[in-house]
Parts: sequence; C-alpha cells; structure tokens
Amino acid sequence: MTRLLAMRKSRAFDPDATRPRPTHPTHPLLWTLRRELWEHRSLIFAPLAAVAVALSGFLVSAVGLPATMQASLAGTPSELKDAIRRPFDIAAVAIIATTSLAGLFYALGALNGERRDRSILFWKSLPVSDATAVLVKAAIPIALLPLVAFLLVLAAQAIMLLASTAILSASGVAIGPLWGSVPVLHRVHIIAWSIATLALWHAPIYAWALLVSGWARRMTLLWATLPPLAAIVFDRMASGRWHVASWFRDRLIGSLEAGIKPSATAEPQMAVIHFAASPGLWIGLAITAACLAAAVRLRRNIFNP
Amino acid sequence: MTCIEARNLSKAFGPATALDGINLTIEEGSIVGLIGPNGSGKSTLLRTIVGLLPHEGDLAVLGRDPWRERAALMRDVSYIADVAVLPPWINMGQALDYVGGVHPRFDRAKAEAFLHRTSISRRARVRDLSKGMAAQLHLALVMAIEARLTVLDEPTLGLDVAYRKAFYDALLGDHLDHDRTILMVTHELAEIERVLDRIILLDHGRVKLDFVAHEIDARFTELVAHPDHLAAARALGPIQERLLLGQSVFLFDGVDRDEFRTWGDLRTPSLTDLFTALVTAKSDQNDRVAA
Repeated sequence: MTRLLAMRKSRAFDPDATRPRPTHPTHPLLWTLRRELWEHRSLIFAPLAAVAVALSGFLVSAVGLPATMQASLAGTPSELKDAIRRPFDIAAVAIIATTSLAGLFYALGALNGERRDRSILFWKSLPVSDATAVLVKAAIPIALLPLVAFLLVLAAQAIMLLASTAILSASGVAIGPLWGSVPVLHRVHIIAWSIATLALWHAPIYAWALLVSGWARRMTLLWATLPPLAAIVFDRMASGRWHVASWFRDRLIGSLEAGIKPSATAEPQMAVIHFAASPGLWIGLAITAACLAAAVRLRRNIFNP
Repeated sequence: MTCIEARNLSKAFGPATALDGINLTIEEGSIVGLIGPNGSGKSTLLRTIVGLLPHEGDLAVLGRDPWRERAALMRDVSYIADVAVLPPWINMGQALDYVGGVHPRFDRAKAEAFLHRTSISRRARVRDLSKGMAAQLHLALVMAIEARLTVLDEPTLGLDVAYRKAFYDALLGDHLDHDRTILMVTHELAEIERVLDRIILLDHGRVKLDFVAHEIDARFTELVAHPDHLAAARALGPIQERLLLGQSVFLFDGVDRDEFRTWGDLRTPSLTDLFTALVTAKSDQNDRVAA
C-alpha cells in the first residue's frame, strides 16, 4: 500500500503516466433488442407452439384429405378453392393471433418487470437512453413479432402444402387444384399486407399496454383493460348507445375493413390508398406516439423502483 | 480538470428535503469517500450525479448536465446503484456481451480476468447465484469499464473480507493506471480509510465535513482530559465531548495540539471515531433541543 501511495504521489509529476482509455463502437439498439429476446424467450416459443399445434391438427386431418378433395372436386371451382384454402387460412389466423397475444402480454410486462426486479437500476447505469429502451420495447410487438408471424405463416403453409402434395399423390388424386389456389403461392402479398396493416392498426393497443406497464406497480392487465371497459359502460349508460364499444371493436379488427377490398367474384385486393387515407390509421398512430412519449417520460423519472 | 461541480444542489421528495444546498468540487483523478448516517442523502447525491434524478441548483459532471444528457454522460461513467440489481435471468456470458455491446469503454478481457478468480459458472443465471457471487459479477462488469468517473453505492455490501480487500486493491490499481475519478458511498470506514484521498461527510442533506484523508492527523485530535482541565478543554470549543470509562474525551477540529498537550492523553481519531463522534454529536444536540 505504501508503494501504491508513493506511485500515486509520483504520478503528479509525470503527465504521461496515464494510458489513453480505449473505446470501441457500440450498438445500443441492437443489444437492447437482443437482451429483450434473451429475457422473453416465450416471444419466439409461443408462435412456434402455435405452428406446432396447427401442423399437428392438419396432419391428423390429412388422413381424410384424399376423400375430402374428391368430394370438393365435384363442387364449383370457388367451393373447391375455399375448401382447399380453409386449413391454410386457419393456420395463418392461429399464428397471427398467437403472436398478437404474445406481443400484448409482453408489452404489459415490459416496463413493469424491470422495476419489480429493480434491474432498471442496472439498465440505467449504462449508456442507453430511455427513448432507446422504450422504442425497442415498442418495436417488438409492432414490428418484430409481425415479421415473425409472416415468416412462420409462410413456413407452416409450405409444410402443409408439401404434406398435402405427398398424401394426395400417394392416393392418386390430382394436385393441380391444390397448387393452383394455396395462399402460400398465390396470396403472399395479401398475407404480408394483412399482417402489416393489423400491426399498424394495433400499434396504439401495444403502446397503451406499454404505458400502463410503466405506470402500474402490479396487475397491469387489469389497469390496461379497466379504462376502456369503463368508457364503454359509461357511454352505454349515458347515451344508451354503443359508440365507444364500436370504436374499440374497430380498433381490434378494423384494419381488414380499411386495408382489404373484398370481392365476391375475384381475389381480395390490397386497398393501399384507402388504408393510408383512413382516419383510424392516423388517429391510432397519434395515440401510439403520445403513449410512447409518456412511457419514455415515466421511465426517465423512475429513480426508486 | 474538474470532474464534478455542484453549486447549491438541492433535491426534495415532496416535503422531505434530501439534498439541502450542496456545494462540491471534485477534481479529476481523486478517490472520494462519501459517508454519513442512514438517510443523510448519500444515495440521492450519487443518483443526481449519474442523471437518475432531476435537481435544483447547478450540477455539471464531466462538463455535462447529467439529467439532460444521461445516456451521453454514461459513456464516460461506470455506476453501481446497488449490488442486487442485475436482472435475475441473465447469465455471465450474456452480461459480458451486453455490457460490451452498449458501453464503449468496456474491456472484456479485464472482466474475464476478474471473473476467472471467482467460482461463478459461465452458464449460471443470476437468480441461481448466491448474493455474494451476483455482487462479484456486477463488480467485475463495472470495474472492467475504463470509465473517467466511477460511482459506487456501497459496492462491497455482502462480500467477504478477502474479496473486499481484493476489490479495493483493484480499484486503487486501476485508479493509478487510468487517472480515474472514483466517488464511493460506503459504511466500511476502517477498510476504505487507506484508499481514499478525500472524505465527505453528509448529514441531513448537507456537507457536514469535507477533508483530505491524510489531514486527519493534522486536523483532528482526541484528548482524554485530566479532570483538572475539563473547563479549559471545553473553552477551546471541542466538536464533541463524551464519557469513556468515567473519563471525559474531547474531539477537536483544527485546534493546535500544543494548546492542550499537557491536559491529558492525546491521540488521532480513526475515521470510524470521527464518524461516530460527528453523528452522535448531532443526536446529542437534538436531544438537548428536544429537552
């Protein structure tokens, strides 16, 4: 110790005694995203489980596939197409619904968990801003999970197509109609567009969940759902109508009405301009921005979790 | 160069005043110990310095306003808020990857060297480690950051004495190599006394005492007074008077020893003695006020 103290004193006369401090480039966004995925591995496992459930259900039904196809071949072309597409669509909806739910529950815990285990004091001891942290947490349900859903829908439908092809070929049933109408070959753009518009439409729901998770100490699901329910009940009692309820209904499923142009005869079309011009999209995005800004502010002000 | 400059720094939580007009200048390259009784504002001061709390008054850390520029400031700072705040799900490999990915001054080889001396398994999650091992992991991460300023809030809480000694030695060695400024809250006064350049005693959110460590000798004296000289000793204005085994012990700050050399036995108080004296002195005063 005496030696150290002597060194310390001598240093005062030797300005070159200190080494330059090394620095290296950093990627706060990327690493914040990674650590979220390390912590919340169920974000990947839950959609994979949905794929597994859909595929195993499909494989059980595949035993009867040749007979079903034979029967459908006797109907009209559009009935045939519907019959072929139905299991593919159900698998897609199951996967998208699972990722949406996973995203919602993730958002409800994202800013709450780090306060409950006090790890926020560790995260905030490092050079990552509150805005970076909150934006990454918002990007997971709004951007990353929809991308995961899209890739998993394609993968699940591709497996279903190959399995169907093998079973039908083995039974000597023609595979032409199957390959002529499966969504994974003919509606990829509609799948991608539906998932993207749904994610944008749901963005304020995730942002609200994130805000509540930054504010409530516990029971975030309750605090997130009570205000909308209260608004619906109040509106019904006060005005005798379901205005508010229909607004929330539109928030849940309105992206299909706004973004897809259905057609009785032809294929559904992407209604890009109609979607971009719908007030619901922009109101939703404004609410998203407001909730995220408030969540950043809340996180910044936490000092004693 | 100045590392931390505080002018009239105040912070209140509702009606409770945590910091009450602190004036402080800490030069780069010093090792400063912040001591004080529980609730004296030590942690609040540290949290203000690293930008976790807004404040009143002026505060500049490495030339930045910590509250407005926390993320930028933390690129030059390492900080331990508490030893039990590592996320429970993280393992050593992930922690090393993450800190290396976000802190430009993190030296991974150095962290590995620290961790090599511990028995922490690379794959074990923090929730499966003992309290002490989790603290060792956290210290290894923070000590491997070649920061310009290291801020530590009771860093060795719950660690065994051998590890504490190794930690303080590493801290000092690092300080010599890199001219790092270190600001540390601790209650292990006997252990840090030899490490510190400067000691700041906080009490009720104010700086009660601020002195250079090797000045304790020159500045403070304890007099175990002979009964004949009690009145004279009191007249010199001791900062504390207490009874020890029936004898009166006076603590003087900045009074020349020659004034009372013949009045009894003289000795230099340890940091622990000083701390106890100053903190008790306050509660005695309060008692008197209450009475």
